Amino acid sequence: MKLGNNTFLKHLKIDSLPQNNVLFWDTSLVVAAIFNHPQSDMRKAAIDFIDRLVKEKTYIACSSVLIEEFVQLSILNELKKSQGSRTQARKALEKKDDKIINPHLGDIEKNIVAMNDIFSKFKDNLRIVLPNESGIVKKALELQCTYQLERADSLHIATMLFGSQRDIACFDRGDFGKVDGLNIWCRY
Amino acid sequence: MEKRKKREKEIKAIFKVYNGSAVVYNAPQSSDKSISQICSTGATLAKGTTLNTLLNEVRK
Repeated sequence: MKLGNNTFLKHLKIDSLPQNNVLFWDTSLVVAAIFNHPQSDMRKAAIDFIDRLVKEKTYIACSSVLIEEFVQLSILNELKKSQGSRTQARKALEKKDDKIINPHLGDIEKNIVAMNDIFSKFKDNLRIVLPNESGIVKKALELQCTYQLERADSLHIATMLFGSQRDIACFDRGDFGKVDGLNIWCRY
Repeated sequence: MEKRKKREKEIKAIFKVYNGSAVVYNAPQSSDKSISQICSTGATLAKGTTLNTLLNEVRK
């Protein structure tokens, strides 16, 4: 795996949190904490890390894209449980078949509540950034072309870089690791 | 207290570049559950799915 020239893989437990700066979140951190299997090391690490951020009153930020992605992941994950595959889950969603979707509404709602409850722990220390600045969109497109990133990844990173920030908590080393100059919080 | 105020000032300066598109998350009230308790209320991954496959399914 090729990593960007100045990419540092930060250890969630050991490294010092960004001082007088902001730690950005990628969707993978929240998904790892809520969705991953209870015995998974990644899940435990994500939960401990979020706990640490709350206790140390760290300033955190994320793009509103995180919320959109989380909702979509939550719906697809639940539908896959009854439909068996991604293709079938997508078909059920496209058909808007209430007989298939309705039994999952309770669990989907639980996931959204969990995400909101995590956010609520940060009170005023959390900022959600709408990617409606032209500079963010321009940067995102540049990143897509330079590093062949997907839309959502490029928006997460562009939002952070537009504010001259470098620290991002994320378990997607493959894509985020391609970009030069990021401090990626992913080791656990 | 002074240190905290200084930090808040610095954070405000960081978010100035977003011209108001950075909003404070306005939760009705902070959850009294621990992070671990909150996360245990969510659902687990569908069978045969990993975090990365799920993310890729939504992102691509």
